[in-house]
Amino acid sequence: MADLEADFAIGDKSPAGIETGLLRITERSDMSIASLALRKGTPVPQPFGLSLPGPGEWVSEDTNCVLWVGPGQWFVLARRYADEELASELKASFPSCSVTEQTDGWVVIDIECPAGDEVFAEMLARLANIDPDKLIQGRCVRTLLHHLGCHLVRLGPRSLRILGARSSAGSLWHAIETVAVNLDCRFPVR
Amino acid sequence: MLIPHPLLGPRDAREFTVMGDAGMIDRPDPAAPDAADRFYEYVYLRDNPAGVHRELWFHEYGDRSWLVVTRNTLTHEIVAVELASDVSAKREKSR
Amino acid sequence: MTRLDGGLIDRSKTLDFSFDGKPFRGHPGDTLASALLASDVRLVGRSFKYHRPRGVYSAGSEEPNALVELGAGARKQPNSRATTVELFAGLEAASQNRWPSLRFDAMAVNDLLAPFLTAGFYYKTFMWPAAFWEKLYEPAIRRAAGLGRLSMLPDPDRYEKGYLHCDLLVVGGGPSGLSAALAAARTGAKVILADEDFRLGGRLLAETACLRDVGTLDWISNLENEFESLPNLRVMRRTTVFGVFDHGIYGAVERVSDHMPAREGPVRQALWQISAKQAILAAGATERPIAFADNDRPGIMLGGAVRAYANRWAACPGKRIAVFTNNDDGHRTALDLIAKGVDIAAVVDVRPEAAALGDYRLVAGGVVSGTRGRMGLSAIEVVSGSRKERIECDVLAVSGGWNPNVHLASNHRGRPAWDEAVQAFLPPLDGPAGLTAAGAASGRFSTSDALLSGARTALGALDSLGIRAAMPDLPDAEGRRSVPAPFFHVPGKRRAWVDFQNDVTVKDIKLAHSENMRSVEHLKRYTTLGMATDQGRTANVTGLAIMAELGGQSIPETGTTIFRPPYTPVNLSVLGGGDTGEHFRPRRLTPTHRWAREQGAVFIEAGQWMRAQYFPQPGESHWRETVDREARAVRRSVGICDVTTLGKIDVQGSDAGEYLNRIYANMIQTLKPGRVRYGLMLREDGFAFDDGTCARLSDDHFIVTTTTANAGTVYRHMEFARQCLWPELDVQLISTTDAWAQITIAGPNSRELLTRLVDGFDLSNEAFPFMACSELSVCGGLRARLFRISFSGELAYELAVPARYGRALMARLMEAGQDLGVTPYGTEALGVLRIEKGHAAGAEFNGQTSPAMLGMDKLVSVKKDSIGALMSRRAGLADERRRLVGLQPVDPAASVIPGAHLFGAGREQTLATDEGWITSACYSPHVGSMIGLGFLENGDARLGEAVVAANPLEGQTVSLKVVPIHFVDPEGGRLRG
Repeated sequence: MADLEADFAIGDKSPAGIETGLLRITERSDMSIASLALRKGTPVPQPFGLSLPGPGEWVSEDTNCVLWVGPGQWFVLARRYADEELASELKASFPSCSVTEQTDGWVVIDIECPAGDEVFAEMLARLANIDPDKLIQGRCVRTLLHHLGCHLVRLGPRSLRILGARSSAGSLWHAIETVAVNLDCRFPVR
Repeated sequence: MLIPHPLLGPRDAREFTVMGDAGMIDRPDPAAPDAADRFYEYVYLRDNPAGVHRELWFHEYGDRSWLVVTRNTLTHEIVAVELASDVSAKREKSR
Repeated sequence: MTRLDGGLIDRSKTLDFSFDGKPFRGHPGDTLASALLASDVRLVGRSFKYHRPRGVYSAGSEEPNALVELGAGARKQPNSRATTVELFAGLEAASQNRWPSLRFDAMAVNDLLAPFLTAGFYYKTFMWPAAFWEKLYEPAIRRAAGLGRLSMLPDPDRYEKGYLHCDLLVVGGGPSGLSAALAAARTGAKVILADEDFRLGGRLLAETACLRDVGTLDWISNLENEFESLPNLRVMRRTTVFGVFDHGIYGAVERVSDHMPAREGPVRQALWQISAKQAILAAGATERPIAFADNDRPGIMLGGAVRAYANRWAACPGKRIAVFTNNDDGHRTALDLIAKGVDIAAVVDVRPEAAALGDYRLVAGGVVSGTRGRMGLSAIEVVSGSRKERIECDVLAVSGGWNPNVHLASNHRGRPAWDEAVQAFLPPLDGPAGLTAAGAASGRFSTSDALLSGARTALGALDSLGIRAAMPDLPDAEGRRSVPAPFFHVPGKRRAWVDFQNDVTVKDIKLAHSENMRSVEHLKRYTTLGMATDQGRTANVTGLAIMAELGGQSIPETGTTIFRPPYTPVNLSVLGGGDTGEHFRPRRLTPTHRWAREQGAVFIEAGQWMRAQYFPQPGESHWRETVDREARAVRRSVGICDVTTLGKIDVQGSDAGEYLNRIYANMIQTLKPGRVRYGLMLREDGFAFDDGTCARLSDDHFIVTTTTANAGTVYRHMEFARQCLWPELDVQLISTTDAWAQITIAGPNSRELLTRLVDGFDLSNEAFPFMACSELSVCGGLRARLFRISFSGELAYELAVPARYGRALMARLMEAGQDLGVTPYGTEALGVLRIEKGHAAGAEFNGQTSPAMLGMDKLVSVKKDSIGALMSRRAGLADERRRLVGLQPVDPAASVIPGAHLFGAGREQTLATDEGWITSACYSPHVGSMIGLGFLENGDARLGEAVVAANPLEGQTVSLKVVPIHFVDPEGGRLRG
């Protein structure tokens, strides 16, 4: 293995994380990402045995998931350390597909909102112009989050995953952190 | 504005970049005998109607689809939206 | 203190506040205006132009007079309407537009100059000389006429923005809005009810006996309880829906903590973008005045406002009140005040047939012809028939009928339509799709009609969404329908105000009309009627009616103006949404950003990117010293630079080669795997678009690089070509710009340095020649990509590793190359090196240059079609004779300034003799003087000739020698070595 030290997209010595009164926000450093695109006239692959989801959807098996990112294109996320070369494995399994390593292109941020649906909706309202009733569990969307193009993945009823461009991870973190602080002010924990 | 994306439903226009006349899809054949004139028209002569207009919109901060949006430039009413690749593929077939 | 009984104020608590430095007291539930009126403060401001004394005129957001400054220091908020400011303990308010004091205002001399300050005065007087306008006239006028002052300090408050989605948005929380929200929310549909007030109820709070079988407050409070229990209903108090935008999008500002004493903690205001499938305009109505001579004195108020202050706030604006009306509403004011024990001087009704509805003196068929009282009303003059009398009073309540608040409905250019039956403008029929008016906003003025129309409109709106709703039980309510007599102003010679905020009088309208300003839009701009921050809410209809009368036309024939957002003024700071300073826009940082910061780098913004510009060392006193050192280090030994910001696009697919052949002007199809080629992209019009490299990793896998500036536009262009032009090709694209940290290692010792990092990779010139590329591993197993390409003209490589290793790689290169004197360099040295090598960059690719100008016409392949190839060969572009050349000053100490234009030596310097311009310039440590690149007429045939660079802006003229563009290594031996 390389004798170089890897950086986190946001955190300094460890992945970034904050807990506010209402939200738990975590930078994930254990996700590998590769894009997978279909070529013309080739068989449709089933990464991790999963059928490729349709527009605006994502599917998962164990800790791996596949999300639709555009016509004919998906992101495959696997929970493991990034040096394990998800892209080359996928390319080996599905040689007729176009596969591109994407792990380092993104920062993955998970937000847990144990306080309930209402607060989750309030949080989403402050992040992006997405109707919370449309971004239900099993759905994902790429949209603008405070001027940044991001993938929003509704992991669960009260959890959201955000994939943002790695270069602007600091601005994204600032935006999310500000929303968390403002939410705490507007909805004081009783 | 909201652009009703054919795959993703109504989406905030800020996710899009507009390029104008959808005629840009119909790139002339460079081998045609009158190619020079056709390209001149293609590059420079655009209609700018006050009314229904077919336009190209790129879902830059979304799924990166190019769309053909039929929009009334007076009222901003959107009459129809198609994936540009579908429009283009149909044209290929009809050739 | 003049407090009446009752009212919706909490007398158990007292709130201390100040106005113009004097202490006052009010109660929770008060507005600043109600508390001032209850404290017998009548004079609250000075008018815009004439500096006339003014008092509170209304009880709502239409207020034209009572504009005050709130707060102090950085939090000072000018032009706040005292009538909507919710009182809190410690509130500091001050009057504005007066000097030295409110009671004695030196600029009141303007009032005596009124005959000169009529409509169009500025246009006529300050025309000549034109140059005086900006320097002299405008600043002087702005000082004299003005509103509040800004603090000129950064706003210390926080703001937020957000997006809401609903089936139905109800704008306004009066009777119609409440019944609409109730009917809709009971279906489970997503409903938002927004109201600008801090308390729901609208006019219900200001009136008595609206509801018959239930107490008004009980009904509202039961409703609020039910609303609280409905999770699908969001009630937004203190929220103004200020504009309607396309496709059911509404802008709203929520004043979250403006009413709180200390703003630490919560945000001050929130900006909401509401996407609503349907919306109901239940914004109510605004009372309209009647214009008469000297009708702007403190104490002259809208009748409905006097009633509201008495009923809702238990504040009586005076001791003896007269009423002037053209409809039954004026009598209602008298009755309510009598019930509160207030002395009514008289009710003057313009209608001869009017009858008294209670025990008060009525002057039927009378008008108010004038008023008295310098700092506040003391008496009115009343004329009825031939009889003229003076009536002592300190308040005059004026009722001219009600104007529906149609504003939002005309945001999309629909013009409000005059309805003769209700004597008012109603919302246009061609208003924004999905927005329907209800209640008073639709001309249904009685409580009963408002309640019913609110619920019915909600049913209709939901029905269009396929949601069935039931009519809720509504309380029995008053159903008086009072139509005002068509009476808008009392004729007379003295000034009668129409627009209080902009000081526009009936006389001004007459003057405009006599000067042929006969369209409403001309009238508006000539007189400034309706152009103040209140958009003429109390002025426009009266103004139109007077204009109609002058033109002998009906009101509909005269026409009306329309309203733009915002409905009421919106702070710029909330529109900014709270992102200021370094967070004003997102920043992109390179993977080595932290490392560069630790090295003391100076950064420069390149689009959203922050790039290291140069790395000053101790002892270096000038940036040029640093940049020269960095550039020299590259030419002498080795330098390293982060070039991650260049766009990287991964292109795959069985037709990837063919596709790129059509994208690039030069041949790509023939590129062998493991090789890189320079690529030139043209726009379809034949002009140069972008350049970069194209590396072929395998038959069906390429990596395209773009310039930093065009990364986004090139990607968009390539997707356009893929999806729209050639969907039949099998190609897949994805951006990988952020995924790879890419570091340039340049200089004669770059191979030596790189050898120390690669894991057994053969870097010899034979195995890995100029323009080779490969995947490899470095630093003990890290996957990487290596490209032997050069921007500096030296032996050079670009090494890409996963972004998270970028910083560590940079540090490792520094460590491994210590003995070689490895030097980090920034964008400045990068620029120097490329100018020395004669590489075109952004300044040369400015969208106006043809391939021939860049010396690249031979690159445009004639063996294939590509975007822009055909058009690049057309006449005009093919005949273009300007060529990129190198430029060197004859006097080595002279400056070369980019942007300077080139002329033949000794020739006249005119547009006609212009021969080109300098695109890029820098000091070249290699040459020992400044050097430049530029486009010059027939430049390729003029090497060695002397030309003149003229910089008339700075008065410089420099003699330059035309030289080849390669200042270093013209044969290219270094980069191939």
